[in-house]
Amino acid sequence: MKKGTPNINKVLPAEILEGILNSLPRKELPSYVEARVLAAVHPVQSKTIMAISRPKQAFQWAALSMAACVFAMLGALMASWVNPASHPGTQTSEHHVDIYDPGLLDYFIE
Amino acid sequence: MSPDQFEQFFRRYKNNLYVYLLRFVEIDDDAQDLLQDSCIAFYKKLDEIKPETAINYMYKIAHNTALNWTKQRRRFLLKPSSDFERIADKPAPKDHYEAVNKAIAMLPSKLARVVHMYYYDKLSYKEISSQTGKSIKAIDSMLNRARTKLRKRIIMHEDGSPMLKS
Repeated sequence: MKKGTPNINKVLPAEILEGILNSLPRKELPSYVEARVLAAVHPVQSKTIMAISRPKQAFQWAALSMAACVFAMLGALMASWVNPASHPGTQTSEHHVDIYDPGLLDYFIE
Repeated sequence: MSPDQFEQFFRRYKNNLYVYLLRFVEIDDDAQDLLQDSCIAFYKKLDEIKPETAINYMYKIAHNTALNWTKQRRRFLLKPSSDFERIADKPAPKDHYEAVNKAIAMLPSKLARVVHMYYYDKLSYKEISSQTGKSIKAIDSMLNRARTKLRKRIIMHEDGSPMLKS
């Protein structure tokens, strides 16, 4: 028989197989791969959370837009109430007329 | 299983899973990619997985991911791997455990998992039984069948080192 050719008839003895199986070498996963795997899993997690919170988000948006509408209406109401331009007979406009009273000017000129 | 439990589970079994996948591939990087794919597949089913059977389920996913990868790789490989070996000036020294590891990867999924859990994870018959949901007697029988299959696939070289039957 040629040197180096395997002896096909020789079956691996059970004790040798057991010995190999019991001493299988240990290997560690590099830490950067651990971080990579956990980071790859997190987008899946955030998608799941988004899917769950979507109805809640819709409700929040509806509440927010309703609040904005109420505030806008209140603002418009307040503005129309105090704006002197829209109410010409108010105190402010009368006072404005008093300052430019021609009688006063005549007094200074004399 | 909750996301927090997954993180603990992954940190505990990452090396065991990595070694399990290394049997199917030649390069470490491929095993790392397969581990990532397996974890994503596992995570998608997280709600359905019970913590007490999680490791068995994870090995199942890892095994299927690795087999699919091997099939795809075979389809896209231009030349058989033996041609590449001939091109190399000096063949890389073969690991003493390589033949056994390759033979384990060729076992049916259930047997490969049980062998890995018993010999690598060092789990007891009782622990494997609770993980797989099979009786202790069935585990013993599966291990015996696996040993017989391994001995049929591995032959002994003249120098005493084990090698895969071609």
